[in-house]
Amino acid sequence: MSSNEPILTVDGVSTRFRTKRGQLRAVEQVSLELDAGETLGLVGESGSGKSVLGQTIMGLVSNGGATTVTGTVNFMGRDMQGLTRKEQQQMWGNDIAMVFQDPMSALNPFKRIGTHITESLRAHLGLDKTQARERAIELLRKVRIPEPTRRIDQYPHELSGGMRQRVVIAMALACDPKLTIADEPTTALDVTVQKQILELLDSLRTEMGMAGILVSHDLGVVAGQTDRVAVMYAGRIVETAPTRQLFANPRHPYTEALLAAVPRLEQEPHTRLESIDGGLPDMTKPPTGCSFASRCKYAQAKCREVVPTLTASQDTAGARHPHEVACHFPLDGAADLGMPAAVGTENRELEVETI
Amino acid sequence: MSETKMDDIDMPAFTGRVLDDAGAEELANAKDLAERRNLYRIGTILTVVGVVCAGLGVLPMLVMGARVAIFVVGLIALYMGVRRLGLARFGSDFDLTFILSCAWLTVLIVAAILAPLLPFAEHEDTTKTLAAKSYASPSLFSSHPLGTNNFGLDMLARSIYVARSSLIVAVAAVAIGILIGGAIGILAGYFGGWVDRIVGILTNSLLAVPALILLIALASVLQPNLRNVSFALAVLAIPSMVRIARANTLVFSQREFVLAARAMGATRWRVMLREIAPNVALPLLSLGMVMISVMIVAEASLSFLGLGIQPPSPTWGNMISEGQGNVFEQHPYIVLVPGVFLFLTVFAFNMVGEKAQKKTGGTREVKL
Repeated sequence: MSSNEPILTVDGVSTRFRTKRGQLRAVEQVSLELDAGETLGLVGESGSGKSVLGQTIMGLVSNGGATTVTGTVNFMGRDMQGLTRKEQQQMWGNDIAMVFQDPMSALNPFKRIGTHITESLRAHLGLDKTQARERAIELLRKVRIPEPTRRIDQYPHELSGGMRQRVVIAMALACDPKLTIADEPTTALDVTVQKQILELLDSLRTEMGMAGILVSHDLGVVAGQTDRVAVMYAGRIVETAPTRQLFANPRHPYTEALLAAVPRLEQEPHTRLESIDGGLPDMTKPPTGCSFASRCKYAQAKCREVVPTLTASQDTAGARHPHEVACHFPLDGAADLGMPAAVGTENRELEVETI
Repeated sequence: MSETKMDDIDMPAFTGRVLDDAGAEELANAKDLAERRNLYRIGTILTVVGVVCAGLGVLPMLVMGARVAIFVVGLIALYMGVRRLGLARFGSDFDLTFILSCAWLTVLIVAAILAPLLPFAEHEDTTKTLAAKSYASPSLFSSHPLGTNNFGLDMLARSIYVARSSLIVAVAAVAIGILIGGAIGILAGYFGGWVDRIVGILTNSLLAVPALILLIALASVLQPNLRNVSFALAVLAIPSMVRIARANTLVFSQREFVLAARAMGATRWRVMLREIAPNVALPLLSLGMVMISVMIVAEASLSFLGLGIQPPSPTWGNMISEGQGNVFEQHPYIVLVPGVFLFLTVFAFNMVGEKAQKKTGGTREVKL
C-alpha cells in the first residue's frame, strides 16, 4: 500500500526554545521517514517533545524569536522550514493538516460549524459559497455526524465533545491533505467516544490514502491504529519499529517500562499499577549520556557518559523499516514484564490493541 | 449489615420512609408557600402605601417640604412593595432595579428620538419665550411640569433635548473607543514585541494624565461642537479599551482554535479579524456600557465648566451651571431637575453595564 518514495523525511531536526532558565531542548536530533498512506505513532510521556515535533514538522514552530530549529524537514520534495509565510499558508490545510487535542477549544465559539469548514475550502480550493457548503455537508456526513444539514448551521457549544472532535477532523480533511498530524486527538474524550474517533480516523485515512502521524501518550491508542511506532523520550526517539514488532519485542528499557505500565484485565483487583520512578530530566540542562539513565534499572557506567545513537538491530538491519533502538544495552527478546508466564507475547499484543 | 439490608427490603419500613420523604417535601413546600404568601401580603401593603403616599405628594395640598418628604417615602415604599410582589410572582431572578434602569433608558431614548414630535414648550429659542414666565415653579399639571428657567425655557423639554446630544456624544465616544482601542489592543496583544511595548507606553502615558485636565486641554484647543466633544471623550475611552482588548487577545490567542486556524493556512489578519476580534468584542461591549455613564458625567462636567457644547443648546452640565450664584437657593429645581436626570441616566447605564459584564464574563475573560 505504500509507494517507495517517502512523502516525509525528517533529518536531524532539533528544536530549542530560549527560556529564562536557558536553552530548552524540546526536540533533539530526530530523524524519521514516512511513506504515503502510512501511519506513524509517536509515543512518549508528557513533556517528551511529541507535540513540538509534530508542530515542527508542520512548520508551525519555526526559526525566529526565541525558537531555533535545525535540521531539515522535507515534505513532498519541499523544505518545510524554508517556506515563506505565503507558501506555508498555501500548504497548511491543503497538503498537510492537523487535528488538535481539545475539541472544546479547537473551535471558535463565535463561528458556526459550517464556517469552520468552508473557510479553508474557499481559500484553498476556490469554491464558491454554495459549492463549499455542499462539500462541507458531505464532509460532515463522512465523519458520521447525523443530520449534517442541521448541524452545519449550529455553533460549537451546541455539539457534544465527540461531535466537536468529528468537526475538527472534518476541518482537517476538508482539502484532502496528503498528511494529517493528529496531536493527541482523543485525550479529551471518554473511552467509548475515543474508540469511535480512532476508528473513524483510521477508516478515513485508508479510504483517502493519507499518511498520518498519530501523537499520543496512550499505547493502547497507538497499538491499534498505526503501522509503525516511534517512542520518544526527552526529545529524542529512543526506539522505532513496526507496531507489532515493538509491542511483541520492546528493546529499549523505557519502552519496556511503558508497556509494563499499561493496566491489564487479568491482573488481580487492587494490584498496584506499574510506574516508572522519577521524572523527565530538566531539558535546559540535559544530562551527559543517555537521558533515561537516571530512571533505568539496567543503567551502567557507560550509559551516564555516552549518548547512545539509534542503531538497527541485527536481525532487521536490511529491512526497509528496521527495528532501531538507542540503547547501549538493548533488551533481548522476551523480557520479563511481570506478566503471568502463561500469557504469551502474541496474546499480550492483541490485548494491548483492544484497550 | 444483613439486618439493615433486611430493613431496607422490609415493605412497611420502605413505604414509611417514602411517606416521610413526601412529608418533608410537603413541609418544605408549605414553608415555601407561607413565605410566598407573606411576600405577597407585605408587598401589596407596601405598594398600596407607596401609591397613596406618592399620590399625596403629587397633589397640591400640603406645604412644599412635607410634599417632597411624603413623595420620597411613597416612592421607597412603592419600590419595596413591587420588589416583593415581583419576587413572589417571578422567583428570585427578579431584579427590579435592572428592570427600572432599562425602563428609564427606554423612556429617555424614545423621548429623545421623538422630542420634536412631542408637545413640549420651547427649549432653546429665547425669542419665542418672551411672554413666558421665567422661573416658573414645577407644577405637574401646568404647561411647564418641571418649571422654566430664567429665560422662560421649559425645563422638561430642555432635559429631554439634552438626552439627544449627551447620548450621542457618549455613545459616539465609546464606539470610537471600542473601534480604535480594540484594534490597537488586538494588534498589540497578537504581535507582542516592540508593537506591544510602544502601545503600552502610549496607553500608560495617556492614563497618567488626569482625565479632566486632559479634557480641558483638548476642549480649549478644539471648537466645542458635538463632533469634537465626542473625539475628545473618545481619547479618554481609548486607553482602557486598549488594555482590555490586549489582555483578552493574549488569553484568546493561546486557545487552540487560533492555532487550528493558523494550521489551516489562515493569514495573520484573518486570525485577528475572524478568530480573535469577535471573542474580544464581548468584554469590550460590556465595558462600553459602563463607559457610557463615565462619558456622560465627563461631558456634563465639561459643559458645567463652559467648555463643552455652548448654551443656549442645553446640556445637563450647563443647565446645572445656570444654578450658580443664589439662583439655587431661590429656585432649587433649576439644579435638581437636570441633576436628577443626570443621576438616573448614569445610574441606569451603570446597572445595565454591570449586569452585562456579569452575564458575559466567563472565567477566561479578563476584566478591568
